[in-house]
Amino acid sequence: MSAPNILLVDDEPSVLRYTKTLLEIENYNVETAGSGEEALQRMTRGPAPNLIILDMVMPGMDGLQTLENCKKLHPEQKVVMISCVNDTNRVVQAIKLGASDYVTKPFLSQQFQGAIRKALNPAVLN
Amino acid sequence: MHSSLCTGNEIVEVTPPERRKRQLRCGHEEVDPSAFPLVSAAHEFKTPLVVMLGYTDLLLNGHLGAINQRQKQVLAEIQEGAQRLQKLIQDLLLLQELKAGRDIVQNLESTSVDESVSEIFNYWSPTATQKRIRYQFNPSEGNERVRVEPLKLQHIVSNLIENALKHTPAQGLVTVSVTPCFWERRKAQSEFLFNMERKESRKVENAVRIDVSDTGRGIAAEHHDEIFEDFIQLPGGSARGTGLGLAIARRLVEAHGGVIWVESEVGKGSKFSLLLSQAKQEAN
Repeated sequence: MSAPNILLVDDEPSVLRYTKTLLEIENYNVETAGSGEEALQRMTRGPAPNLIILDMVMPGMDGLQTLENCKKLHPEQKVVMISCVNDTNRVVQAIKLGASDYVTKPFLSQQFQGAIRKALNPAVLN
Repeated sequence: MHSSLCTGNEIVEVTPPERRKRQLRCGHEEVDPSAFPLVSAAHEFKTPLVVMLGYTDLLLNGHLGAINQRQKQVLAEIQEGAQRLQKLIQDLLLLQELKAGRDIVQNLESTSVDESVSEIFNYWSPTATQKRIRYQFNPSEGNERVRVEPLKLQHIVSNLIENALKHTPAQGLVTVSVTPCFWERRKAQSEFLFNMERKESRKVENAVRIDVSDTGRGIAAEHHDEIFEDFIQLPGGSARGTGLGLAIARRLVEAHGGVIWVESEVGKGSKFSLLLSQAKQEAN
């Protein structure tokens, strides 16, 4: 069975590289998108990823708007949000919009991997 | 002047010392319009920290290949610097929220003081052990409860314990105590009741005092008020802090309707105390 596919969405290139490193250590297949718009374009072509990891704060289409639009395309899409600790209200909104979980910055490997494993369906991992 | 009775079974009566009046009340100070908008920049501050802390953690844990001892030491220094920066940013953001006068105390819960303080006491236990500081917790004998945001109460006590451990040398002693007491807050309004109580020679415990004492170098009297202001750090101590811990503690205590103060003399250690009203008993 092939490794889960994860779409990573963040406007900050260094964070994209770091988070991609974290995911590839666990042997996930990782695609990246530098904006909400780019993520949405990716979602309209090709199969949906097993999981989207989505930064809350981005210029243009922000995390919540991207989440909402992705869910319209694929209602069952699993999404983990990355937020700042001050984003309480937005995190609550994200959960209401269907996000599976959230991780707050700055996050370390163990915390992050735990959230990813929890979000991914165990059936996929097996 | 601070006075307290502290004997066996007698109710402790506490009168916190007069603090010099600040011109502006806590939580209602105007935000300087020229101040950098820290709250809105939270995202920008924390994003680089994700990378700094994240990569050093990966490297130190060997996820990106083996490293030698010297590299490990260097990475540990970088990690410590990034963690200090993280703490400073968190404190600055919280302080800015407190200063902005937002209603930062919202989700009040009836909270067991002993349990809450015990949790934070245990959190700092490894630090005390590592620094070879004797470390004691004296809970109250009752189950006093206060209406607070539990995490904020722990934040306050954590700041006090952290400071005590920072300023106490090895073989010294840090003690955390919880004591129920009588706090006369509204003299005029409750004069009738107090007269009745005095007549009956009985005062009702209506507050809880949390004390964090240390056997560090002590603080001169002229600094007793200013140490609760922003960015004040007194010389000494084993590690530099942000200078915001006590300022934040004061604002959080006052946001809960409490008071905080210090008793200390140079060479004789310090005792930081905070008073909070007890939660009213729920009717059964």
